[in-house]
Amino acid sequence: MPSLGATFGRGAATTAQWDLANAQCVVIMGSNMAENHPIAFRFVMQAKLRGATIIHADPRFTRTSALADIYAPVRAGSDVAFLGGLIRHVLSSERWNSDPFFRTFVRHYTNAPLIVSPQFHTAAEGDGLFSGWQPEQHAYSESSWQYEAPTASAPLDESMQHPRCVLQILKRQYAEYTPEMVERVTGCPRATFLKVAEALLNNAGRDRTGVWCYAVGWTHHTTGVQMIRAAAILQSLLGNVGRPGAGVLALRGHSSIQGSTDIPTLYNLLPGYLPQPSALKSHRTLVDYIDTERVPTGWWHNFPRYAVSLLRAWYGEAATPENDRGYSWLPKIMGDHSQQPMMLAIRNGTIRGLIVIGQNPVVGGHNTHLIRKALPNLEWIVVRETFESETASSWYRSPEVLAGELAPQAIKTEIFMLPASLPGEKEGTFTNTQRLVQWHDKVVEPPGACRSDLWFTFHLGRRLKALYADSTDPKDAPIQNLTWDYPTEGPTAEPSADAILKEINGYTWLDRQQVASFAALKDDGSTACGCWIYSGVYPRDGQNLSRARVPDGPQGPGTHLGWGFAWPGNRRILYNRASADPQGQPWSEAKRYVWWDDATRQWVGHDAIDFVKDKPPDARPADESHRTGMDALSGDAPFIMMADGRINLFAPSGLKDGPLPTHYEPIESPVRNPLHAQQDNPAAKKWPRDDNTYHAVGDPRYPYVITTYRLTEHHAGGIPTRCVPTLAELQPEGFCEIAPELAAELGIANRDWVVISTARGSIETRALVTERMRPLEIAGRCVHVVGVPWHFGWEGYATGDIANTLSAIVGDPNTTIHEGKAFTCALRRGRLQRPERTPTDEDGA
Amino acid sequence: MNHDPAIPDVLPDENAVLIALRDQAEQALQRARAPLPEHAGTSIDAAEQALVRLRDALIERYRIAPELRARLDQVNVAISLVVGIETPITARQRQRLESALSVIGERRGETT
Repeated sequence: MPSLGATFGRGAATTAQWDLANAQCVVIMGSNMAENHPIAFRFVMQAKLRGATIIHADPRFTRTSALADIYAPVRAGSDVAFLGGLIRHVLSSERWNSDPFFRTFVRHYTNAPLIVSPQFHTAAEGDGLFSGWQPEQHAYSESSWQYEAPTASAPLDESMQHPRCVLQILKRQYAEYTPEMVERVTGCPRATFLKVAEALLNNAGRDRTGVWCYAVGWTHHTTGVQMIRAAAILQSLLGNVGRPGAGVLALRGHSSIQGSTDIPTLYNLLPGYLPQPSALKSHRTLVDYIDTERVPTGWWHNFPRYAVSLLRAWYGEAATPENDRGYSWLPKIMGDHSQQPMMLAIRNGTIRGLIVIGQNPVVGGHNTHLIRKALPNLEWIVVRETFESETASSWYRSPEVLAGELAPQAIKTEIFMLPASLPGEKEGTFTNTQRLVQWHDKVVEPPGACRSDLWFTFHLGRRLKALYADSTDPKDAPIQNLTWDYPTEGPTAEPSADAILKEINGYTWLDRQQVASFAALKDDGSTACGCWIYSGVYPRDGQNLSRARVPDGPQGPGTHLGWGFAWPGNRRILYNRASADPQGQPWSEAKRYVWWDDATRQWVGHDAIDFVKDKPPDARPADESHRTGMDALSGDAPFIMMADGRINLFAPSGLKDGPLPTHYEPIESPVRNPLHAQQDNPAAKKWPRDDNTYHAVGDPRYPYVITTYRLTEHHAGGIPTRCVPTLAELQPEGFCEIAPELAAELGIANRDWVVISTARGSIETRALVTERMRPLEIAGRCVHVVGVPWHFGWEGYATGDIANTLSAIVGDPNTTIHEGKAFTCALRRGRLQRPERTPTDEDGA
Repeated sequence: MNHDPAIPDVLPDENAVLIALRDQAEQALQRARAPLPEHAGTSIDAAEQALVRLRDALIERYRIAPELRARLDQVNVAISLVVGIETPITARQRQRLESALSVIGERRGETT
């Protein structure tokens, strides 16, 4: 979530699900929360029972819409236009301009008063391009996005009237996002849009707060990061950050996906959001790496402590000052090694082997026809699964095999299918949406040869270490020097998850004492820590706080500090210093949360304090010569991860597609961008090739917008649920949803077979004709949206064609996340011509 | 998998194979340096594929001729440089193609 990181300082949800109940307004956009996050949705319903206004904006009318007070239909991919319209409405409203609360919050806690370089111009002023676009580099230069002076001494205009202050820039950027333009771009009727805008304004202020919830309906776009940014800007303008019933709740796509970015499966991060060293940056030595990545002011000034402690945890005694703490053993990235380019590298033959854990790329990847044609280039694939997945059986059961495009006899790839254990068969932790780390015990032993992912990784590591033990090749030093000494238990030698969590928490190197928090970590090698943000989860021997299960009672306060451990430092609402005014007092009794207690000279409240606990509100930065780290921030600067302690309404750095969100059409769109000449995100990642072609704007062969989504009954790539009879019975086969108007136009009846096609491939499925899909009037023409759940494949009891056969490999410039939520397609009644072919013994089936 | 019609799939003998594959990789990299914009992705893929063919042939030989290790390492460096290139090609990305060419050409005087 680089958007939340670039805006507030941390790439994570700012609040917890149960805090939704404290909101007076809940907006859900980019999510079908009632169906896909039903447990969290309980708290939305609690808020509604207490009188909150619930708003759902989505291309489909879903169960979430049915339970909302306001449903706003929006075309898939037009979210920034909708959000930009809300920003404009707020900034130009009488309420926002007359209630001192808003201006106080914005003036003190955001960068609204800071003055930006005279070289900067907005996308509105540049016909869709911000200043700094370098077409020959296919990238922005950030130099014109900077403040007039370096952050620590940047000039401020407290009146926020200077034409180049951030607030005035915001006004210029969104001036054209009028309700009429919002209607023209998104298809949302003007009256509905205004109803949403007024609900937001009426439920913000000293006594009232609103919260936004989003999920992958925002992230799965080439503008996904900027969609989230737009909501974060809006929330900041409304004073809805760091306060109860406020913030931005990132509803994650899977259990523990938050954990998988904290202790990352991402190619470009080390644990705790430390950047992965890169061969393309000044990262040659540890000193270079630290000098490049350390921020002089704010909390990130502590960067060296976390990096050195990580190296100590990983390389132990072998990490010495003489060898740069083993820094050279860390792999350096050479570019984008994320999943989509990885699949192209497999197609090109570059990658020779693939280990698949908790993934089913043949279903969940994009342009999966290309993926299925790519996999036979591998020498080997290891699939760790509970059932045989499409990724494991593609070589003999894929549509390409059935069509004769691939011959199983000619595929040399060796598939290793390793049975994996289920959550109840292993112990460990989940880190969910609200950054909450919760331990789960093993309930039963895994059957037969099933093993945990931990077991697999640990024993693979042990074997690799044994294999390279006698090597004299310096390339093998990273494996030789890795500490890999976790204790094991039981007949299968299961590694101790408890011991690993203790390492993640951190400990003193010499006497092996757990550290109480990340504040105890050092940059001299005297501490080891596997992930600094988790430090505090296991503060002393025998005290695993992720096991804690003490909820607050009915008397409150409802932050549940005794339940699990939320990183960082068990803080439930991030940036909670902002729940008090600049003088340290609650904005109102109704929203009292954290405040300065003059008697004890410290911050107190209902949560763990996300601030320097004894720094008074009137503290001012040290004189310029000592202005480093937290000493550079004043006592009224709640956003401690930012260099100046303020929210970045305007992001002078950190985002590849602009300092502010602006509307771009999806890469494939039926219409020209009604706002600017620049059609789509200029920095989007594209891989045009014969097997991954994109549709031109308004291509008459592909006139419909298509969006993919999930169902309550199935999980992601489908293997955990399609193979379960009771779940399969509830949603037994694939389908697509189309509006009655489109069905009438194409002569399609409910349950008819239809064929959906793109330049990447075609699928057949059943039509569900439903008023949940509504034709939208976009830029003067009627646009239909086709909805397709993407869980299905040929394995299991619930089957169907793979929706991601249709999507393209294309990515957001900041994250390389695909655009499965908005592209274009053709639709017709009928079926695909497919030869019937049953796998034979000769195929090895 | 051969997207480049200029590169034959069948080559005469083993040593000649490596030399030919190296030459083909060089040629593919040279073509990728100055592509027409609409063909940029395809020519980089072709260069990557040519390097991969050279790498795979070297891996086969390396198992019986460990002295090829340095050569194999260099080809892997060139592959790393090319794999990370994104399209459309920018000046900085083009520099990576130049570096890959230079790495491949470094040991031109030696047998493969």
